[in-house]
Amino acid sequence: MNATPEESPHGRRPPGMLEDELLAVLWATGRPMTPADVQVHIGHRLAYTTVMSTLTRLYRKGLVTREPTGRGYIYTPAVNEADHTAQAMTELLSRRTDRAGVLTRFVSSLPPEDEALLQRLLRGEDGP
Amino acid sequence: MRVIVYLPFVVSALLAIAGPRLAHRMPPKTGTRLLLTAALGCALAFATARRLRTLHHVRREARRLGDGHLVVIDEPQIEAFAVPTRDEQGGRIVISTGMLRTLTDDERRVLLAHETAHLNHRHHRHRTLATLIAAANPILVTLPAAVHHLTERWADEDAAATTDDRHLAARALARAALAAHEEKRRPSPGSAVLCFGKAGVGNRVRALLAGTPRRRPAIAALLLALLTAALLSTAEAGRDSAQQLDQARDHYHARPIAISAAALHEAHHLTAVLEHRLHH
Repeated sequence: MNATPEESPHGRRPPGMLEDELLAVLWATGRPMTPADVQVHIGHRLAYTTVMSTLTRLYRKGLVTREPTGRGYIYTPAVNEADHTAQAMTELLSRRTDRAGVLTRFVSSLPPEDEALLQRLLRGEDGP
Repeated sequence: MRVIVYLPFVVSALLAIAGPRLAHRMPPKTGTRLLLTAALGCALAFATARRLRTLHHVRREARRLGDGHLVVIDEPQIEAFAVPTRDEQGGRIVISTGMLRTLTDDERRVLLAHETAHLNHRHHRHRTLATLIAAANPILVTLPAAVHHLTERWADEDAAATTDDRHLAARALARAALAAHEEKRRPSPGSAVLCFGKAGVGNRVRALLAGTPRRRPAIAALLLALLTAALLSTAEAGRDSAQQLDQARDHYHARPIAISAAALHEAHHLTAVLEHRLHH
């Protein structure tokens, strides 16, 4: 890949974004992963040492757990009580519309006429 | 915090009940000014308090979300949102595993960049301001939805810039929206349908596919011109009323000798009617 894979095209990466990204990968795959697994998963955009140090930071923050394996560790995302709070928050969000202005959701409404457009977009990009 | 936030509600209620009675007892000049000032203050404080109360609830919940910037809920439902906080991180991003598993690796970066943009640019403040303006001027009832849509577009553009791929950003939005839409079709108690006016995903996807937004100096100039015209017309209307009133007075004072008692009475009446109309 590129010579400097951990630099984004604009040479900036918001602080903490790397940790978010790797934590999201661990949660999305839903199985324990070694730094090498993670690196493969994200298409080698990051150097091995970057992945390893980021996972170590996540471990120190208690956001992932790890087990020794071979010469290194294998990582699993940690479930904590914050999960329940977040769940409660989601429920509050569905009940109270005035919260919608404070909490900013990724996707909101989808009018029927837009459904076809989105489906075409995904088919066009991902189709054979 | 809790007590202060409820105070405007109480004061507004008190003002509504006691206002007319107080008006009878106060000296008219002081009474008029005092009552209007209090009412205007209350209207604004009421809207602010409602908003602050919501923010307060959300922040109280957010404090229990832990120290991580990203909080993952282990739930199949498709959900992602940002929660503003006052600590150095500026907020938390809450995403369900359902959402994380729907998106590809690259698309997840779009989602993270989008929610991070909301927190970094403090978009909840812009939205709060729009809500308060709409409360002060009910004609601007559509403003909050417009600002809502614009802040979503802003975060979309930020995400497209961070990943350097507009198509990828559009695809992430499309996939998340379709999955969330599909989920809502299934009857499940946990996922209530929420609609936010025109902040539709379709428009956001179209905007991303249309390419980098162009600068629109003509529209900016038009808005500025309209604003100037509105301010000038307000000033002009004030001057106009004053002039008409002066003319009426001049007319009345110009012929004081030849006027009969009946005509004088009539002129008095007309001036009073005119003044009354101008003031309302």
